[in-house]
Amino acid sequence: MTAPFLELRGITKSFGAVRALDGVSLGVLPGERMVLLGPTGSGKTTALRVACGLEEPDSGDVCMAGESVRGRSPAERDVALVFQNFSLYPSWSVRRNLEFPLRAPGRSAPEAEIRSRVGWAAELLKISSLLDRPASRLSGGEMQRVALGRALVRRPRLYLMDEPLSNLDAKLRESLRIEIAAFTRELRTPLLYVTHDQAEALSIADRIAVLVDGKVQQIDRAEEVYRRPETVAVAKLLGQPQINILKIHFSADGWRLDGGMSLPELGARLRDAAATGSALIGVRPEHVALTGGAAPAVVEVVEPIGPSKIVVARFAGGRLHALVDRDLPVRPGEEIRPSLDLQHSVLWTSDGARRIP
Amino acid sequence: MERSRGGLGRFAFVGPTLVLLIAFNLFPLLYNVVLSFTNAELVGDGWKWIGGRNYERVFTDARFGAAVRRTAWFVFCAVGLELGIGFATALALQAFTRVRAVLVTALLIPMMLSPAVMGLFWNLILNGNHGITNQTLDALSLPQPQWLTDREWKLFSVILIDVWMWTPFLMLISMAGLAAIPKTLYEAAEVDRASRWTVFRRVTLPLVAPYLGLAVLLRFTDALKQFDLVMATQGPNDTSTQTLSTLLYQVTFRDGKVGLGSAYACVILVLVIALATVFTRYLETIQRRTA
Repeated sequence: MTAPFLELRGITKSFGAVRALDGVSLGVLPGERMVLLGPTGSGKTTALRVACGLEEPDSGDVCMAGESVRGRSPAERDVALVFQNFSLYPSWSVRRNLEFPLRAPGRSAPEAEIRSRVGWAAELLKISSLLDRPASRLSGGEMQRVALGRALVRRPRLYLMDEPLSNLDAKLRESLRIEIAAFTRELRTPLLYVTHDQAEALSIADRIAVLVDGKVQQIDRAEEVYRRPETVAVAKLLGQPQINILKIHFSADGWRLDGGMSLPELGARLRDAAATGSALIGVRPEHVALTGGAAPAVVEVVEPIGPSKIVVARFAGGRLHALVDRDLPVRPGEEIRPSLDLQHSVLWTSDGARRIP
Repeated sequence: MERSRGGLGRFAFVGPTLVLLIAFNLFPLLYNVVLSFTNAELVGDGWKWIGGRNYERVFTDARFGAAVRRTAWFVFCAVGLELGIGFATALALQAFTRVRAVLVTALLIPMMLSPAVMGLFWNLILNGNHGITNQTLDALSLPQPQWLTDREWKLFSVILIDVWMWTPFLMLISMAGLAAIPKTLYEAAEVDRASRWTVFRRVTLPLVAPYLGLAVLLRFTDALKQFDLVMATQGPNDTSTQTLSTLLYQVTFRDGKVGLGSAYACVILVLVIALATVFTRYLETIQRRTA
């Protein structure tokens, strides 16, 4: 197994009474793109800032290439950071903004090298035509391209990006997301990318690290995190529409949904949990069918989303989301008998903190 | 139906302001222009048209030229020092986040006092014989200039008082400007290994410039009509500290020459409008650049 390039070891960091990071450990392999995914306030930006050197951890260690870099400045760590709010030098042209990291004290590259690198980055990010424009006269999307370019020209040891697309509109976000995914794959420089947007995470990540309440919940390939989320919180972060979480109870005749529907197939999987009497089951909307079930449900909303549609129904004392073919005829008010594909379901202990395999 | 009542309804909202503006701004202004072409005096009635003779006298009056130069010098020194010291203080206070609140409150006190009261305070402080300044200098066996009576020192003293009064204002606006700069710009520069000078020149300065420009504009127009400090420390007739406003006061109310005074007022008004226009244009270009 390869050793990680960047490693956070048991990082703890508090701001006053708020514990932002609580024993965070993760490793980014050489050339790997890791996305740190988490809801707002989960500590993911703090984790990135600790990796960068803008924030010192209260305890724990930060290593790069096997060597501790605690106490070293971001410049000494040789990392490049892209912020959410663009952060360019407003009075300079795009070209000077791009050149600046190469001209900074102690890093001055030869003139020809600077020119070729700026040209290369501008080409890659499609900003060649903007090079002589002042940075203050750019649109948000253009500014963020320049900010990305400024990180690119450096060829640092590690790229760090903090929600670089959050301030852009949906369309730009999508196109820039694809470009980031493409050029980071090409560069083979490790990347730690912070976002709360699952689409960005799935598009860019080789592996996803999910952070909730300052704790790492799961680190795995995107597909694994989606299919086998370790906790309910992780399950809710990935997937659009959100995963259906239902309570199930164990009684004399086996496992049942809150509403009463019997789920005999779960017996074998939940043998150990039977003692506690209850558990949680997660079923992705794409694994819900509108027919074939035993219990009735009433359709509340039908939401067409292009290739498919989302059906929201009242079911078992809560709401059930189903993702179905757009041609399927279904109307609000209609009674359906939804069935759940239990083969693809995920089970957790009743507090949602641990997955039952 | 609503539309037909629109005219009256709209007037009900705008009317009072309009009436007040006409009564207290437009009418006096026009009346002043009319008076400037007459030989009206403060005492006695009946005035005659004398054409442009008042304006002739304004431009041949040695006091006028001197007052223009003196006012310009006063504005330049006072506002320049206020900007320099105020901005520097704001930068320095960034480092002291704990004590900042207390310090700022203390530093803002001069700004909240009336200029006339201020002038009287400083009259006592700078008094040549029993003022605390000269007593202190005496105790230190240093030379004791006659701050308020020596021709060489008078204008300097007025500038000093103005700087003391208004530096906190520049500081306050600078602080607001500095606080508005996103912290990430500094962090991005840190990651880039930018030198402190580059950060100051390329991040701080361009982003506070619009705030500073606005503050300087306000101080500039205010300093241009400097009146109260000079009146409180020197009176209107003192030739070595006479500003445009005190000259105007002297002509109109001490000499009683209302017609001539009105001509002075018109000339000063045109001057101020011209300067303020140039300045706002400049300010707009700064703001466009950093927007």
